[in-house]
Amino acid sequence: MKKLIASLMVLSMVLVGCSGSNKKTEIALITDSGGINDKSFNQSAWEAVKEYGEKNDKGYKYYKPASFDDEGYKKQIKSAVKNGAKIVVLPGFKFANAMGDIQEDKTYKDVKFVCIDFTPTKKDAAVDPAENVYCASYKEQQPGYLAGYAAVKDGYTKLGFMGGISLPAVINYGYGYLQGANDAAKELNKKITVNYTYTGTFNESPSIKTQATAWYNGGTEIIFSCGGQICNSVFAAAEDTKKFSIGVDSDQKDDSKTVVTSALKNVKQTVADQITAVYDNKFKGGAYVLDASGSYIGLSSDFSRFKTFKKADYEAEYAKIKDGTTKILTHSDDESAKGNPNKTVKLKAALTNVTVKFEG
Amino acid sequence: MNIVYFLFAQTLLFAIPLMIVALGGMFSERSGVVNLALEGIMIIGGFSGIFYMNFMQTNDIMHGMPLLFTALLVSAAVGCLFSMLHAFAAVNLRADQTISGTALNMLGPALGIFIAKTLQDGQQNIGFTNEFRISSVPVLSDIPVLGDLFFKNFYITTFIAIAILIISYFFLMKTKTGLRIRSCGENPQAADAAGISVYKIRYLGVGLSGILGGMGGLIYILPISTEFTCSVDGYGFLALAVLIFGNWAPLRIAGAAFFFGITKTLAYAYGSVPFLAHLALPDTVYKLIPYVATLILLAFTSKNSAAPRADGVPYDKSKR
Repeated sequence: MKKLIASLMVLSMVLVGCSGSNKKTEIALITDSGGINDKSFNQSAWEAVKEYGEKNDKGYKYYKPASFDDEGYKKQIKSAVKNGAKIVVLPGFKFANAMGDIQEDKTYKDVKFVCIDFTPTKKDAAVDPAENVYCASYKEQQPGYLAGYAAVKDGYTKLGFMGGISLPAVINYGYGYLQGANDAAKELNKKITVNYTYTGTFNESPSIKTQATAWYNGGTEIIFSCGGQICNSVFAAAEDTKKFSIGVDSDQKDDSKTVVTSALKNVKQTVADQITAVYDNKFKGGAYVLDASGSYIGLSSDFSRFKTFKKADYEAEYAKIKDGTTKILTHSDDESAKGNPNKTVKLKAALTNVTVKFEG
Repeated sequence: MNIVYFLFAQTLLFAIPLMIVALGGMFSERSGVVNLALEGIMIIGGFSGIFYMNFMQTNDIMHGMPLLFTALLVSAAVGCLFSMLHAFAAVNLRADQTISGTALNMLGPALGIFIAKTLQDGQQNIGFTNEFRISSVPVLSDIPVLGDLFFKNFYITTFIAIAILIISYFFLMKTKTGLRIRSCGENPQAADAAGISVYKIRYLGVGLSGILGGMGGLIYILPISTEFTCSVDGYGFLALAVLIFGNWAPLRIAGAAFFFGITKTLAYAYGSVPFLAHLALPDTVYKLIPYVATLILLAFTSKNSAAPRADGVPYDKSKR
């Protein structure tokens, strides 16, 4: 029995332990619990790391922390640096506390950190990023706006929005979505209704599926699923009722045939640009809010699942966001509404052609 | 009428897995072993079933109904194996059953995630394609009312679950083995004196809970998702509540599961029921319905509650 257990443990270590290449590892990616095939931030960041590493013959590797908490992340960052990493990519807000501690440690001041979608925190209180720390966050309202605009332009009149937990990022997606739908409705002189809710969780569940199915059966044609794994339940409901959905953060078209498009944050480009900047000695730390002006947000490049909406329409609208003609209200314009669009003063006034049915 | 069909279909979504898992728990508890591990068993059962399904689908080996049935068998087998850990601790080692159950609840998701990540190069979620929904069957779907209720856009698992309910009822209430299970839960000493092996019967009880719990995990995840993330959202614990609410008896468990299913459905789909939607109450009120209703019903019915008398008490031969 003991021998069996021992050999099993050895086997598991062998299986877990092998990844990456032999050159001195200069570019390191630390994954969170999702792993590099999560169809989301980890995967996009890894693609960028890998591409750069292969093209420029640099050693690259991804590390999976042994435990997915602040201590585990810190340990993994330290051992990555010990193995020669000059650039460490951290995809996702879960690294915020670990980064806050690491950046204070002078041992790591020559290592460049690329933080995706978060800024460092100390015990959950925000702190300024150090000079060697680049923090990217995104204007979620812009891809949200584009998604809503595209959906209405494509002929949908009954929309749905299911957010995860009502955090600013999720709320901004939702607000953008409503305003995009509104602007398209104005152009087409239509009236749009939107069912709108926050599920209170980022995990799939029968409740979410029931709610989504109820919406679809009540006439909703397309739901923007905006919050981690809840998309699984929304997609399942869409498949059952033969309706449509919109993905979020990464291109989710492979997850379900019902996904018409996805509202994207271009993590891959962000990481690629920063790695290039480091090797060109142009790297500058700090907190950056990325948006349409650098093409860091957008919709999926595949437009084949739209009925009438064309890439040209999208690009025209994109240009308007880019040059600032289109103004989008966000959570910070009225924080007291706590994500309920019907309780916002400015947003509600702006939504002339959209009726929001808020559940939550 | 469409609303009724829709609400019924959604009710099944909640009620069917709850019922199967609660029935599993019933066998275990009626034989005298408290089974808190239902959550863990569901997870590990769902995990193995989906993992098998993923393998078969990606390699194009098997599809459709044969795949569903074999996946159910895999889930049942792994669930049974997993529950044996609980049986060993509870029966042979006479451990505190609450603790070993809790241990399995912690082990289940951890083991699932570990295996998934090890075998899938770090990927925790296991995807699957839902190809098991039957949109209609000839003749049966054309029956008025019943056809719409049961034979349109349905899952075969609904009927498997109903069959399991009927079999469970007859097995527990009408067969010799069923009587033995019940006697071991009420008075194991007397059962032992009558020549029944309490250990074997309790192993059987826990094993059945593993089989049904494992199947329940797969049945739970199939209609509601496109991948399995090693979580069943607390449905194992809900099933325990259904088991107690259903007074450890098969038909009442079925009733309790459906009651819970209906209230849960109304809590999330009230928007499409004109009568409820017009009330225009805050969302939270609707979400409270299942729990408030359960509390009220329990307050009225718990007087007649009849937990197996030896439930949770390890059997010790020397303490006759």
